[in-house]
Parts: sequence; structure tokens; C-alpha cells
Amino acid sequence: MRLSRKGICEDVEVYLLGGLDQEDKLEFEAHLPECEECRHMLEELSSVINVLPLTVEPVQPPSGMKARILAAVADADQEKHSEQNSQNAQKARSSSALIADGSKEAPTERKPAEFDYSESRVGKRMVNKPKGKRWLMPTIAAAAAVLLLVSAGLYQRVNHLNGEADTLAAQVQELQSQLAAIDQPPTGTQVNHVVALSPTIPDIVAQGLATIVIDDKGMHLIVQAENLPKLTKDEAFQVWLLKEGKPVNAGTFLTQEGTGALYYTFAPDEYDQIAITHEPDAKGLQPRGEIVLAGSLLPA
Amino acid sequence: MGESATDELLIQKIANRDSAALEQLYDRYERQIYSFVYRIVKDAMAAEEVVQELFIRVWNSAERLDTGEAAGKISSWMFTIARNLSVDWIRKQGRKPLEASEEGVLERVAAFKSTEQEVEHKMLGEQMQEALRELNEDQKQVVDLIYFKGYTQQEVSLNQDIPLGTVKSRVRLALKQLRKRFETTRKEGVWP
Repeated sequence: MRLSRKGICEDVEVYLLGGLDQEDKLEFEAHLPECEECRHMLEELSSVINVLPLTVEPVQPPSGMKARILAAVADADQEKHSEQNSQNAQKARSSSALIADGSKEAPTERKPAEFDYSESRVGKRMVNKPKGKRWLMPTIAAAAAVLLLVSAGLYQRVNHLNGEADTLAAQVQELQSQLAAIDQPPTGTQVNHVVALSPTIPDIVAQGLATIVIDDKGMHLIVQAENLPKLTKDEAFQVWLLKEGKPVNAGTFLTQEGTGALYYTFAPDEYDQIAITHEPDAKGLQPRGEIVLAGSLLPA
Repeated sequence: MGESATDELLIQKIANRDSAALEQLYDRYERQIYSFVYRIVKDAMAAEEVVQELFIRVWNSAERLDTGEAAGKISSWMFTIARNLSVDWIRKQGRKPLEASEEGVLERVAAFKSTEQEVEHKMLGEQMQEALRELNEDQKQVVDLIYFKGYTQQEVSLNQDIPLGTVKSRVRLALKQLRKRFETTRKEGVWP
């Protein structure tokens, strides 16, 4: 049931608040150029709407977000250049539309291609660009472009991870020295194994590093991770050493602003994998939650 | 480039592919936009993705913005896109229960080092919070459900079991009162 002309004018407030469904919204926007009164109302009430975003509780953005986002913009820019020929048609944009509704910049026809969260983080950056007009390009060229972008993206990611790894390594070193200070200074501590832990589920930005050191007291596992998902209530992260798929509890830890660490001393054994799970509490003897980070302990 | 470059100037520079200008705009709005997006999506990872998508759009759309006529509107434009992307995201998630994580998960930030504009925005935000507090419960609810939770008027009508016309009129009255209250506060100069 569509509204009469008069009815459309009654939608101005809901439109402004963002509460019209797609169909009503398009209808209202078509109506706007011919209705002085509605345009006036939009202008009047926009002073209210524009301030609503400022009423929210401030939240600290995740660390490193700026670098990641600016890199992603650069990625997208490269892609844009390779596609520029196909999008010259999009230039025209009226500023009155900008004033009335910034969502003009989020055209509905592009929506299906955006934000496919089922993709991995890296893949998503490559695939879901807002400028997508890829269907205009020959398939092979598109495939080549995607490959190029994926490798560029991966390269960037690796660089980023290398940077993170340096930081983590420094932190691990600090932990190691703290560890050393606890009782007797260990002698001849050797790093046996350093494993970068990678996210196992899509859309997770967590990273971690596991270091196994050996001294005369045995083997020590040092794990540090950051950008972990937020814990609620009794939840905890739990570290597991796996031998042929069988998990051994290496302890639980909590996080502060997404960062957590743990160390565990154990009798030398041949473990082949290390994993961190997101647990409902810190008391589990077997993994119950999903694995967030994992790494192989087998020689590469 | 001075710290005080207007948003419009930055957009013009961004239109000329000036990445330093983009960075400046980013620094200016990072916390405000992230906080706003986080308020809607309630998920740190998703919030970052949304902010990322927003800045890709800023970078790609800057040349199409008429900064002359849009003076003072850049931030509104960015917030509008940020909201649309956030709402798209929660719709894609199939709307997991949002209320559950409502309380207690927000990382409060004790003290920001604020730029002049942030101070101004903080003040405006506080004035509007004040105005929001004075709405009656029904009005608060529709504003929250539609604006911050991304429901359409039809969904609000259905979920809350209230006639569509009532949803419309609550929104209308809410905005009217917010505007009145907000502008009175400003004129009275309660906030210097």
C-alpha cells in the first residue's frame, strides 16, 4: 500500500531519522524535488539529526586501526584506478541531495556487493569495493585484477604482521626477562620455537605469538596475543597444546583491551599444534569454545 | 597544513588525491565516528570495517562533493553514511539480539585529548543528550529503535505492536521537541 501525496509529506521525519524502508525511501526522495515544504522541513530538522551521532558514549578505537584503514584506502584507490574507465558516468552529484540525505552516497544498487562478512578479512578488502563496476570488465581482466589486488593486499598484510611480530617479540622478550627474574636466573635459555598464531575464523583481527624456550627446568611456553575479541562475564581465553589432535590445557588468561599473555612450563613433549580458544569460563579441562588463534609447532 | 583547516578544505584536497588531508580528516573524526558506529553495530571488528568502508568512500567521493554548498555538512554526510553502513551490517547479521550486550561492554574512555572541534562536538552532544532525556519513554523508544538500532517504521510498528501512524507521530513529536529543546538550550547559553 503506497501513500498518497499528502501521506508522503508525513514521512519527512521518519525519512530523516532513517526509518523508511527502501521502497518508501525511494518514493520520498522522488517526491522531494517537487515539495518545497518537505525540503524546508528537512533543512529545519537536520540540525537535530546531525547532532544525534554526537550523543553516543565515546569508545576507544582499536589500536592500529588508523594504519589499517589508511592502507585499505590506498588499496582501494589502486583498484579504482584500474577501473576508472568504467565509472566516468558517475560524476554528477547534486549537493542538494547531499544536504537532504547523505545516503545518496550509498546507492542501493551497490548494496548486494558490499560488506560480505562471510569473506575473510583480507579477501573482503579485495572483493567488496564500493566502486564495483566489475561486471563491465572482461572476465579474464577482472580475474587478473583480483589476483593482483589479493597479492598486494597480502603483501601489505604480511608487512603489517611483520611489524606486529616485532612488537610482540619485544614484548615476549620483556616477559622472558621478567620470567627469568622470578626465581633462579635460568642459564643457557634457548629459544626452541617461535610460532606466529593466526586467526582461524573470518573477520577476526587477533594476532599472537607463541615462543617455546628451553632451560634446565624444562620447556616454557610463552604466549602473547592482541586484538582478541572482547570477553564478557566469566569468559576467558584458554591455551591448548595439541598432540595428534589431543588438547592439553596450557592455562587460561584474561585480556586487557584485547591483549593477553600467558606462560606455561611443561615437560618436554612433541606437540604439533597450539591453539587459543574463547571459553565460557576459565575452568574448562576440554575446549568448549571456538578456536580464535592457532599455529603449527611442526617444523616448516 | 594547519590543524584548523576546515572540513571543506580537506575534502577539496582529498579530491585532489592528497592523502595527508585524508589522514587529517581521519584523525579529526576517528573517535567520534568509531563511537557512533560501535553504538549501532556493538562489535569492535564490524565497527572498524564500517569506518574503513566510510573512509574509502570519502576518498572516492570527495571530488563529487560540492564543498561550497555543502559547507558545514561534511560531518553530517560522513555520519549518515556511517549509519547506513552500520545498519546494513546489522541487517546482514540477521539481527542478533542487540539488547543483551547493551550494558557494560562499552569501553568508557576517561579523558580524550580533544581538539577544538571535538570540544564543540562534545558540547553539542551533551546538549542533545539533555534534550533526549526529556523525551517521554515512547518517543525515546522510537528514536532509539529507528536511529540507533536501524529498524524501519514498519518493523517498529510490528515488533512493538503499535499502529504505523502512531510510530510516525511519535517520531514527529520527538523530533519537534528535540529541536525546540535543543535550540532553546543553545539560545539560553546554558553552555557557554
